Amino acid sequence: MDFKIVFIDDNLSEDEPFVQNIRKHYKDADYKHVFQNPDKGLEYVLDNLNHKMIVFIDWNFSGHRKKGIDLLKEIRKKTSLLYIVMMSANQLGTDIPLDSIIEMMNEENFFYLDRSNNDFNSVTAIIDKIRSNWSTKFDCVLEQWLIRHPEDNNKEAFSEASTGKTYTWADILSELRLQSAIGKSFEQKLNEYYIYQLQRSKK
Amino acid sequence: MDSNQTLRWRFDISTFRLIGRDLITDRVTALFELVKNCYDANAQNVTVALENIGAGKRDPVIRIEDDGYGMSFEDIRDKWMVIGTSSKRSHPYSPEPYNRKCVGEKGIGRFAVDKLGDYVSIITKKSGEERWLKVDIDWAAYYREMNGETELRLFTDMENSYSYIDAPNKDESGTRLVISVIRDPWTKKEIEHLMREISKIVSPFANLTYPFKVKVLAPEFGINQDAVRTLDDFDLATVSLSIGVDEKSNLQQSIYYDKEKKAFEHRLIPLKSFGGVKMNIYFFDDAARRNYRKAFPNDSIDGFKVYRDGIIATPFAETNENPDLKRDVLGIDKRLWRDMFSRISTREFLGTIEITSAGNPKIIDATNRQDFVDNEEYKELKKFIITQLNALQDYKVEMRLSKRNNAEEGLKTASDDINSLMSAFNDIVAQKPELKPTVEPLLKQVRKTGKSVKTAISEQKKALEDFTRKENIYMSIMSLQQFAITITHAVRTTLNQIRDRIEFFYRYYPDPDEETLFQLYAKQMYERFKVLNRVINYMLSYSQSNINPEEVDLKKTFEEIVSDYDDVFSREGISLQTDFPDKLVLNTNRQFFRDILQNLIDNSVKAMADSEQKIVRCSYEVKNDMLEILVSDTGKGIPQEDWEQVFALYYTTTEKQGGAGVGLYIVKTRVESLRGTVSVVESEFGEIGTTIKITIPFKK
Repeated sequence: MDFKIVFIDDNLSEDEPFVQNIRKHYKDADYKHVFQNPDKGLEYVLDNLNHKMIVFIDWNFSGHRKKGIDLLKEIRKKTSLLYIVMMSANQLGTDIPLDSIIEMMNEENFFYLDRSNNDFNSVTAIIDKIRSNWSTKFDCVLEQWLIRHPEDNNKEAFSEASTGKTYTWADILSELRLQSAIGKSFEQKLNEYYIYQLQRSKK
Repeated sequence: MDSNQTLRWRFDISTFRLIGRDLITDRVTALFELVKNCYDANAQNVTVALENIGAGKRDPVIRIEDDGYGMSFEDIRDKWMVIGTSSKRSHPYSPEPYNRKCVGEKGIGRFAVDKLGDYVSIITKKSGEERWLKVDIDWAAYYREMNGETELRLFTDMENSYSYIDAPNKDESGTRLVISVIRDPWTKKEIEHLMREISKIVSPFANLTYPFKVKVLAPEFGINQDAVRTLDDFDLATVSLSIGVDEKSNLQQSIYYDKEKKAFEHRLIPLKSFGGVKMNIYFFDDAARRNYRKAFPNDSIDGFKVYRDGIIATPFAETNENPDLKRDVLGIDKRLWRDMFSRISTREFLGTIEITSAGNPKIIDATNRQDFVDNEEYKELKKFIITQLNALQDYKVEMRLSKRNNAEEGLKTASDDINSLMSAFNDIVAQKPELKPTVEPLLKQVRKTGKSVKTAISEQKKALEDFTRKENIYMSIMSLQQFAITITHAVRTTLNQIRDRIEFFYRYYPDPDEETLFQLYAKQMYERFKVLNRVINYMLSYSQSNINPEEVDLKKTFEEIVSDYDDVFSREGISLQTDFPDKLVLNTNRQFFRDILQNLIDNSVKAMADSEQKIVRCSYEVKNDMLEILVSDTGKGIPQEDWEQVFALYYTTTEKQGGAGVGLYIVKTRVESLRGTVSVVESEFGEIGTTIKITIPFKK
């Protein structure tokens, strides 16, 4: 499977058309991750941050104190890479407090889906946009590379000067997705290296 | 490089701005801070003199003189001039025998001086010393250094000169601050405002062994008076309430208005998380407010002051002259919109709330001195305060009612008087027919007046009926609004579910691989339509409901109403217990019963959102000529002190679950229309939950 789609919504089950539409439309999606319990869903997401993943989160969980934004914040503590789609069946202005709306608008990699007024076309629009973003993101490019060149997985990619610790390409992919210090500094160094190389090749 | 490998902090010259001018919001607050320092220094008499401070005057000076314990050279060098030191931190109480709870806690109040003027002399002496010590600080020099292009100067490098003045009286002690080079002129208004703030330092109810008097002098404005507030200020109040703490049994008083006794009553409740509080509330009705304004033109009726250990804690030195812009720290006016008929606003009462450091440690002063740290305990305190005010609200409603009754009574008496006057005239005429021509015009006049009075009575009756009718319509609109929200939500959810399934068909039908899903969705759509149908039937029953009395089979009606909740109950995991005896048919209003039960059950569902075990119990029973209905739940319950108030409009304990505080009010009005009573009673489930009891009289 190419990517995971996770649903955290107390009113959703695998049988629902929302999930089934995704199965039909995205043959390469691992869609069987539907969580009615927000805590369980969050746990799954945080345990699988090293995968390419889209998370659909419902705003409201009846009987739970947690709101969608609380899950969003928990996830953002760990990574800003992950794509999150907030969903609500109610009107934006009445169901979701304005300050929460502002907070969400200021998030990276964030989408909103109006479940009452939007049909499946809006869902595919969001997913397709995310996938096209992925195609240029370094972690996704690296993942594709490693799929095509499995032998590179365990080759050394980088060694940390201060500790002497070495990282394989598979390790780097995981560090990138976890947004660890190593992952971030690797990405920055790599970008600098590209620019340097391109400049040199022009001369 | 330093071989020790350490680095030290230094303070740039501009530091004094950060802790002085920039930290203190305004001049009144700055001066007020200095007066508070006098209090902490055990002063009993303080003089604040403002000379030449008006516009266009030369050599303005502000003097603050106190007879406190004063400072020695060492005190100045090792404490006063060391930033951040506050003996008040290690010794929160001033020296014996005064034992005052210190008001300034941060040890930077002294920099307030910088806000007031560029130059200050501190003249101070402890009792027994021969000379007064005089320290001169020229803030302007600091600014010159700060703005100069000179090399880096540190705050700690600035030098301030000192000298000594002989003291004629060795035993004298105290501190005088002389501030000159005042930057901007002061206005009379500001000084009056300062006096008002100073007068609030000490609670009028605190019985201080060592009084604290502040005299304010501003000759150019004709001000020469003590800034104090006494109990006399409250003499004009219409009614006063006091709420105390029973320290022996550790119980808190909570007040409510007993409508039957027509008196305020206290109830003893366990101490709340915020600790025990004492409150005094003085309510002013329209007339009393007018009198107060006449007596104290410079002081407004502005709600609560919170005192800790007898000293003001909040609101603190507000400079807003306009009461509308004042900080409403306790949130009393924020709830104003809630009850348009009988709200109590901070313009209608003066009050004190007394807390202590020892008794209310969880109520923590916010660093800006306005309000308290917003923790759970403070939230609960605010709620408690509102609860107490609700007693006043009930009182206000009662007063309005009795006023109305008085007016009615007066009209009736007038009508009776006119009748007796007429019969007296008739008697006279009967006895002395010769007077008839003289009396006749008078009699005519009286008859006319009698007619007018009768018209007035019927007009008043009409107006009253009109008001009640309007109130009823208002209620209906509100309950209809709530109803509409519930209904549209249900319809929308169901419609969305159907749409999703239709969309799936539309996209993928036919597809032999998906046969099971197609079948499942078809079945689900069929079921969803049944739900829609039920919702629509329910709406129809509502719109067609008859307001006129009809034969109502109670068992059938009650069962019908609770069965509307089947969906809700199963979704929320609530189990229903009922006890509806057979064969009770009343000639009554079916819709009223529906309104009552629906609102009670809606509330129960909301109150049980976080409950582990969720049960709704609904029953009725006939006792003599009374129908007694009980509705209970295992929800979070209603604190006892709120039992009287939950039926008030817009009072809610389930805000988070979407409660708007309309439901129980509707219940109350409906029950009253049935000439019944409704109250919160001990929960049928013992320690958890709520039971609402309704009694309605009927004839078999």
